[in-house]
Amino acid sequence: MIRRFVTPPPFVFDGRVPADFRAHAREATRNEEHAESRRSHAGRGRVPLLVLLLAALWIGLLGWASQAPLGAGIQPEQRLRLDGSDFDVVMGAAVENGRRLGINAVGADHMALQSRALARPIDAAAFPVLRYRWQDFPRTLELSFVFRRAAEPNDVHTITLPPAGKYPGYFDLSDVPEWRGRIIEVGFAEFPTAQLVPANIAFRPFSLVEAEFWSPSWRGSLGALGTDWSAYRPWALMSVSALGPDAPWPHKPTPVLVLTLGLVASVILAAIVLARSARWLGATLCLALAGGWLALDLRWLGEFADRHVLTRELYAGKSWRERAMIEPDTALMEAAARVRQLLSRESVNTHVIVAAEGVYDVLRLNYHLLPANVASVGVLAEPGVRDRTMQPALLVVYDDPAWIFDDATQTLRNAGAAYAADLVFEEGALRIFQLRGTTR
Amino acid sequence: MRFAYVIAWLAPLLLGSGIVALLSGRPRAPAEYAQVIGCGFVLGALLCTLAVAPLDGVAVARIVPIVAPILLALGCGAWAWGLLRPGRAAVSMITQDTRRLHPLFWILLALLAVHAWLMADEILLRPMYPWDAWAAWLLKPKAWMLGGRLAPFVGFDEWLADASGLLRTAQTWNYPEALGRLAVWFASAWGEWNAAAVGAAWFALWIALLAGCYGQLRALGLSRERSVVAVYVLGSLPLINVHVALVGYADLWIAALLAFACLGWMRALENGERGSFVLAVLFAAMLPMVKLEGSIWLVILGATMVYARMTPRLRRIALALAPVIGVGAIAAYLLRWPLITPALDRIGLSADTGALLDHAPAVIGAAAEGLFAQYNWHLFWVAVALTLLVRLRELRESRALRVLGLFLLLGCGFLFALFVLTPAGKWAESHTAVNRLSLQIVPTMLVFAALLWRERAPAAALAKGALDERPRVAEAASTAP
Repeated sequence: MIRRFVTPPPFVFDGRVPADFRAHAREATRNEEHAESRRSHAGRGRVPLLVLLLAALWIGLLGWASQAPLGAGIQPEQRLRLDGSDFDVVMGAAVENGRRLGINAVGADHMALQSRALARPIDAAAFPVLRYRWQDFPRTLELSFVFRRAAEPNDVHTITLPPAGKYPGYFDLSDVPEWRGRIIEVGFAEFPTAQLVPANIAFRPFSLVEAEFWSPSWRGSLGALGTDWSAYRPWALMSVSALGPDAPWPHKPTPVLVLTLGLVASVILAAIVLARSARWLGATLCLALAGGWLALDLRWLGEFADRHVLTRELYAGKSWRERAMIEPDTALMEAAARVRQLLSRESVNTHVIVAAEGVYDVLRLNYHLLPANVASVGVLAEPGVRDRTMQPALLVVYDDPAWIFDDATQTLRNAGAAYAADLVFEEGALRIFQLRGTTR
Repeated sequence: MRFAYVIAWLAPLLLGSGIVALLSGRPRAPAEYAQVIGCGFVLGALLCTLAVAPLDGVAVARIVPIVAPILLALGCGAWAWGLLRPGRAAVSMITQDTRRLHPLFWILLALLAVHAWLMADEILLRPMYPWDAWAAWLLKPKAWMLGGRLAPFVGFDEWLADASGLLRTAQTWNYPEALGRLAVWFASAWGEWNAAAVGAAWFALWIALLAGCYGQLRALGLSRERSVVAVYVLGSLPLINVHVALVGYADLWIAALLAFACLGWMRALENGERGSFVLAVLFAAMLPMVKLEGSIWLVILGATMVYARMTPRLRRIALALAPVIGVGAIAAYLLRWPLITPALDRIGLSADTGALLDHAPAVIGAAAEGLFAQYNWHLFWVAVALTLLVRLRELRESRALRVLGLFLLLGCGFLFALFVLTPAGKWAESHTAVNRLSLQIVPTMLVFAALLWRERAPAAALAKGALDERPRVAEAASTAP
């Protein structure tokens, strides 16, 4: 402004040279200061507005992510509290330790189960949040919540819970479609983490401290969100394909999504309220994403370290041969060892075909039986196999009742196919047949 | 640790790094050493599997004694040739940065070290864990190792009829065997089947991927600080960490080959380095050795490379024809056009296309969830989108990056078509494949995004001028009377 007044553009000649140049300059300075002051005043007003808007945005986002009921209070209006000692032992063994229930042994199938029949059934919709507290809950076990409804008293519903750590865990039961109607019994079940921990070494003593059922509240919903985000997630076969779905409980929106939405919306909001340029918006978004990345990475490192603790617990300090024996499928390894004993009497190149009810069992047995010349049962299902020459082979059937052997006719049948066979070994779930070719 | 195991590591490293040094120039700066060692390990490891391939029937204990001396001699020869060859530039291509690295970047490197420790310890301790590790990729090497010799794997019919008992079979009998041979290479050197001795190759791959990308990004003109950020981003991606910690999958090998092929190609395009182009072709040619879809990546990359060398006129024709052919092929597929239906049936794409289209929204939703909302990639895909928005000008101005972008676009198109238009969509809906296949292009996508963050330097501008000159000349030639 001053510059324009003092030095007009070369192509405009302004002959009205002010009489009092300094007075004009002072007035211009005052005007400039006034404008600056107005801008600053407006800026001071914008910052609190931005803070308010950002607070509202993040509260709204967390409310959305936690599915907190809008009309609910911060604290739950109703709580139904059960001490650990209120639960009865259904499977395994436990002792009352004050108000806690100390679980010190598992029952059949390496499982422990505690339950409590409710004297007065509760309305599921009125108590959608479960708060639970354990002491020394081992990483080797998976935790489930079990309940019965008055409408179907013979059906037991089971849902996997995020494992409890040092702090109480929260779980939003409204994510479970079966949690409805009148609930007559609640309980917890614990068993070795499937396909990760050998069942025979999984158990360590732990205590159930308490369980509470809460009416809808922001604290309960945010607690469930926090538990979902921070709970220990063990490795699973799914982990190499997707992180998130590898934890087997219903999930809330992840911090990745909440951070993405929150950061982008916050920066856009800031650019609008503070009247910043698109360039500022881009640069600030980049910085915000960098900060978000670091936060997510620290969270991931925590989760990774958490998963790794179990690996160290199971395998650290052992030689490779000892570690190789600690596989999650103990029963399959024992079956494979038994088959190998029998194979030691056969030629090293004998064809061995493995059958079991589940694909996992077939493939794992296949792997454990190496170096036997082994194939999965799929070879027999190949089109045209029945018409081709087939060398004699041993068929190992593990825990699969679909294979029916007729002793009288020495015929083994499965899925419409029949094979001339001799039963050469049978022990528990393991049967071994000598296949002599196919009969139609 | 056995001496043979040390040799088993040294031999591929020496051979691969020797070839890289020979083709891309003697390393002088730390970043060049990183590139030579990183790219060299991956190249050497896969060349090693080629060397093992003809040894069918040989006792596994003899593999390393037979192959390692040859690889070591070739590696020494390649290094000697690279070092003694006259006429190579006496100075590094990378601008030396003598300033001390800001503490913030040291923090990033420290975080990477924490990632590395967790992965390494997990590999050392845990037996083979993920499904395809023991069911597919490492089944053959374990059978070879425990059986004592490299027995051929054949189809079920042949196996059932084989009276000698010397043939083996598996559900994955026809999968590429490079990783299996690499596993048996390390296991035989160790002296027994040991998951940690084999799994260490995946940890080395992670280090090699980071080192190779760092060196190549620096050679392509990205500043040291930004290259460190790019390497941190790559090294901290959770799903990549999982593929290293739970060893046995082939996707990270494909990812590394693809990234190194593209980086070498970028150097050839931008700096006119023939050696880098040869390296790019070598890495690309190895893609089918690792996994079946490697062939598709090779075709897409090869097509884009051909496109980049076309005259502008041909390029315009290709750009006009490609969408017509693509849309036509998709329409013919969806309409089950009689002429192509038998061919589709033969390759297993004979699905009910109506059902596929009904599932398409769920498949796209599941894929988007995997990329943007699960824990797999932090904020990677958002950051790539933001980079494209913020650095669009850089993309417009760099022809090399535009063709790399075209390759990535085609790759994303392939993944989209695979999941939305074929029965493979069920793997996307169940979250079992969509992230693993995306992983294969993530490092390439990352280096593409990182290169968009280059500061404009005179050298880059000159290189760009050199690059842009060729098409202009070609165009002039094509329009000449």
